[in-house]
Amino acid sequence: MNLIPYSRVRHPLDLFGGLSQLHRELDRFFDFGPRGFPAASGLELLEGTWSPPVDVFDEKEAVRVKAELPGLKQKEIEVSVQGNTLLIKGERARDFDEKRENYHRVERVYGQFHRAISLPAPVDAEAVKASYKDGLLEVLLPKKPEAKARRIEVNNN
Amino acid sequence: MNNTSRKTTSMEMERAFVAPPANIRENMDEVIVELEMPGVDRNRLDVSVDGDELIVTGHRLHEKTDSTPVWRETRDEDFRRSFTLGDHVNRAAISASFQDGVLTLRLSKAEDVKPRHVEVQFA
Repeated sequence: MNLIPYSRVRHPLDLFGGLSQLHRELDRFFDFGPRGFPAASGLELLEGTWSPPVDVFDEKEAVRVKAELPGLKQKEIEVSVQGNTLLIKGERARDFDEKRENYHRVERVYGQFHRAISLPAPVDAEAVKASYKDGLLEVLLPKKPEAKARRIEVNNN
Repeated sequence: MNNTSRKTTSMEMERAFVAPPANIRENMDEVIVELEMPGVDRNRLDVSVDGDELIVTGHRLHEKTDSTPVWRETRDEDFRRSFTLGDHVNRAAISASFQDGVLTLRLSKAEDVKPRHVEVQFA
């Protein structure tokens, strides 16, 4: 797997943020091994952008990807497949009027977001479907026929 | 503080609450609080007022699937966040709506604290 890792913006009230992040890193290390998580994040190249957290499922017929993107409109999310990579990007626009309203606290993140995900199997780019509900984006990528697991009979000569 | 009468399972007791990111803004008539809680279970999203405390709790559980994730960054989450209400907020007129994973609370200001324009009488 070759992912651009998710950078969680640290919450001001999250006193143990550092610890929980270490916990996550350790979890990842043991889940995926050192190969799966490059030390350099690659995020340096994407200054000013944020990345939503994602889940990737390798199912029998399809690859399913879920991303947390609360408070967006459908047209603000762009999903595309380029070869073996799923790209999720867009922009969360600031929807408030600073002239008329006083802000006490802004913890939500705004601006452009970007996420590139290497897919675990070849998919049919024409048949990809994406839906958005309750702040979760779900992308269903049907596998190409040759990527589906096949049972091979062992002949007994 | 436990504001639910529901019996919590041992699993939930072990998980720590997560404070969802919030924006708080104010205009002439109301205070607006937005909280990001993507994928929260609609049946277990609760907003309550206890004295001067406004408490929001919510739960998110991963849906049951047969497939194993090859990559997982989201978590089962117990959201909780509380805010202290000032005297200027009308407790009886708090509204809450949930859309696209964002909970929006609208807290009306009490009439007597709203800015008022005073006409100057010229003799």
